[in-house]
Amino acid sequence: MSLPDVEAAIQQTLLQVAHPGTWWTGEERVAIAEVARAALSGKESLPNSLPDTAVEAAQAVAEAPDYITRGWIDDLVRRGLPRAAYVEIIGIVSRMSAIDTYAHGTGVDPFDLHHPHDGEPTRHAPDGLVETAWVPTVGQPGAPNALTLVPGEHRAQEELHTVLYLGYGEMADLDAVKDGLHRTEMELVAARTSYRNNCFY
Amino acid sequence: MLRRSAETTNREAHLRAITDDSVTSGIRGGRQLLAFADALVARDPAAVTTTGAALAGEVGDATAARAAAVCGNFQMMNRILDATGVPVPPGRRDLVAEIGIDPDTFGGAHGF
Repeated sequence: MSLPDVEAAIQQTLLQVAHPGTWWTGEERVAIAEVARAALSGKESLPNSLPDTAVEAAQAVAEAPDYITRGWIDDLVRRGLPRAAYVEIIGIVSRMSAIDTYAHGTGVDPFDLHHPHDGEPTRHAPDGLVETAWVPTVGQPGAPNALTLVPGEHRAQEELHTVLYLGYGEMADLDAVKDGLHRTEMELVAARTSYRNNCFY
Repeated sequence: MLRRSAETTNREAHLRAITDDSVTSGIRGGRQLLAFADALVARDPAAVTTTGAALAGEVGDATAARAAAVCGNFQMMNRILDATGVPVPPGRRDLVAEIGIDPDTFGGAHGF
């Protein structure tokens, strides 16, 4: 079975992916999602108009994020991929990973990507950036603000995080229960997922 | 968060179960939750079907679906944190021995 609140959040996410972002058009964002989905399912990407650096980034974030290094990102930047455009790719790919994992786990068909919407990227960069992580963040970097270089991706991640798991403000509730799953049980799933992904955060 | 949640709510939780299948977590449906998460991360269709059915049999369909949602969330967050190079909070390093992780080999290119 599938959960109505999660299905609604996934449709909202897919709609957001199909709209122009900060650094990529709607068509490019859907293409990034398609590259991610192919990589996550072990398939070859279909031909697309993305720069090679964007395809490389999307595949790496999907397949082997634990082997990404600062030097590798610097090389992408040297080859013409702006750091903020890379962050937007992380946002799209990571949400596709969440969506496809949920579909797989609940036995529903993969959710269809939306048709791209016309329009130009905003190319807006926020103020107050800190350069502690491998990409700039608004404030000292942590899980809640890792994508703040691209505010639209930050908001979209937070919205999906809130529905799939808990809102950042709800995380202080150590006795939370969602659909019968107690917080301790949620954390067991979270810890094992991170362990299998070779991620210690 | 696992330890804090268990302690706060007076529940049993053996953290070593995260890395060692010979250890029982003490958590309701723990073995099924772990196996389901493994299958989802491995993207193994047959294992997802088998472990998902076992989990649903133990905790119910809606709770199993929520477990899939939580796993999806951490598939997302693991990618974000690894791909942005957010530093591991210093306090987390104390958990290494308790969980049973080898800091010299864990974490891919990130490590400690």
